[in-house]
Amino acid sequence: MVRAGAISKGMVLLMKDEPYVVTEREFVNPGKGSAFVRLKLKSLRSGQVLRETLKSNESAEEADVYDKDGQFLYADEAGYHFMDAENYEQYVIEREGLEEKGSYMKEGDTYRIMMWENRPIDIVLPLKMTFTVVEAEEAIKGDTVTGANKVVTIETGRQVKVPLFIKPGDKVLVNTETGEYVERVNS
Amino acid sequence: MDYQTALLRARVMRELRSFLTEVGYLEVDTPALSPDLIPENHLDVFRTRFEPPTADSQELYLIPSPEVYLKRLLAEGYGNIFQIARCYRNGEAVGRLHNPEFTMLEWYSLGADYRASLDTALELLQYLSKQVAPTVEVMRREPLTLTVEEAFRRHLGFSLAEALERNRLRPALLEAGLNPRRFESTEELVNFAMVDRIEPSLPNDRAVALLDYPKQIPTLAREIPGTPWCERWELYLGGVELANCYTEETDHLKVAQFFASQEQAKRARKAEHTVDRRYPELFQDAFPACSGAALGVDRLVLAFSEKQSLDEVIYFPFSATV
Repeated sequence: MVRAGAISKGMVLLMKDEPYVVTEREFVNPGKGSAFVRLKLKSLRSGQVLRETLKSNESAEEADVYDKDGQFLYADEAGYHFMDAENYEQYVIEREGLEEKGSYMKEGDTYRIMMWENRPIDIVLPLKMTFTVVEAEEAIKGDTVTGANKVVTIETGRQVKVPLFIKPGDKVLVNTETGEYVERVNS
Repeated sequence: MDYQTALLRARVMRELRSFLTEVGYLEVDTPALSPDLIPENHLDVFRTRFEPPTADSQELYLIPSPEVYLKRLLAEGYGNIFQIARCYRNGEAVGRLHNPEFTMLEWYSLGADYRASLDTALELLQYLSKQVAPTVEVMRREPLTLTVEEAFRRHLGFSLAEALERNRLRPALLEAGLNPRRFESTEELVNFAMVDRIEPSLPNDRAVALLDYPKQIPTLAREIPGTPWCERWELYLGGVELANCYTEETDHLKVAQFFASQEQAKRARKAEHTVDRRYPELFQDAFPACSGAALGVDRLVLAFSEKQSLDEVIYFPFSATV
C-alpha cells in the first residue's frame, strides 16, 4: 500500500483490479479543507483513461509489476510477438493501446516488457531511440527558412518531422514519448 | 527563474502596491514570526524557538497567513489595509502549484462585503494584466461568476441546497457517478466534489469566481441568513485556485465558537501551536464590518507568465533543494 500523498508519476496502481499507470498527479488543497491528490491514470491493459481523487492520507494499492527482457520478433494481426530473453518462450502482446509504441519497434531488438500476474501488459521503450531514415524528399532549393521541417520515413515505417538537411541513410534520435526529432546521430 | 520572468514578477509586485495604494489602502508590514496563531484545522505550521540569553526560550511560529496581525490592526482602527507577506505552510506536498514558502497578498476592505471585494479583485486583475501582461490569453475573456449551487447543478446535475437539506449529499454524489468512498462529513464530501468534478470542469480560459459556500465548511465567513450559504468566494484563473475571500464574521460569539471547533479538531490531529487568545476578544467591542481577501502572488505571476510550474516563477524554489 502507498499513501496517496506519496504517489508519483509513473507509479503503477491497482484500480478496479487492473494495473493503471499514473500519468498525471496534482496536489490540491481546497480553499478550507484537507489536501487531496488528483490523479490521471491509464489502464495498462486497455489504455483507458481514469481520473481519481484521493485524500492525501488515503492509501492506494500498488500493482505488483516487474520488467523482463523480450526480443521483438514480428507483428501481425494477433499482436506483437516476443521471445523471452531467458527461457526462449514466445508470447504475443495484443496491439490494443500499444500501436504508438509498436511504431518504434525494430524486429530483432530487445525491449523491456512489463509483467503483471505473469502476463505481459506493456512495452517500456527507451525515452530516446536511434533510427535510420529510409525515405526523405529532397530539400527544396532556396528554402532556407530557419526551423523549416520536412517529413521522413524511418526504418519502422513511422514518419517523423525533421530539419531539411536530413537525408536518406542518416541516423536520427527520436523522442518516443512525443514523436519529435531530437538530433542527427553521427555514425 | 529566467530574467524575463524576474522582470515580470517585479512589475507585478510594484503594480499591486500601486493599485491598492491608489484606491486608498495602507500597506502594512507585520511580522512573519508569531508566538500564537489562529487555529485552522487544515493548516500545518512551521515551528521554531526563540532563545534569548537572559530568559526562557519561547516557541514561535512562521505565519501561514498575515491574518493574525492584520485583524488586530483592523480592531485598532487602521481602516483599509493590505500586506504582501511571505507565508509558510508545513505538511503540504511540494509541486507544480505548491511551495512551502510563498507570497500572499492579503487585503481588508472596511464596510465592504465579499461581492464588493470581488469587484476589487477583478479590477485589480484587469489593471495588472493591462500593465504587465497585456497579451495574456486568460485575461482577454469576461470573467465568469457563478454560485457553488449553480456549479453543482451544472456539473453534477443536482441541487446542493436540496441535497444538504435532505441530508442526502453522499447518495447524490454516487448517482452523479462520483466515488466518495468513505468520506462522511458534509465538509469532506463537498470538498471532494469540488476537487474531483467541479474544479476540473470550470473553464480554464478565463477568470472564474465561485460564490456562496456551504455553512458546513467551517470558516470565519459570515452566514447568509435563511440560506445554507456563507458569504465567501474563491477565484480561479486558468483553472488554478488564485484567491479567496469572506465577508468577515464579526459576531464575537460565533468567532469564539469557530475557535473552539477548530481547536478541538486540531487536537484530534496533533496539538501544534498555541492559540491567539486575544483574537476572539478583538470582536467583543465593535470590530469593523469588513471583507478580507487573500491572493497567491506566485500563482498570479505563473498565470501572467503563462509558465507551467511555480518553480519557474519564484526564486530558489524548494523543489530544487530536495
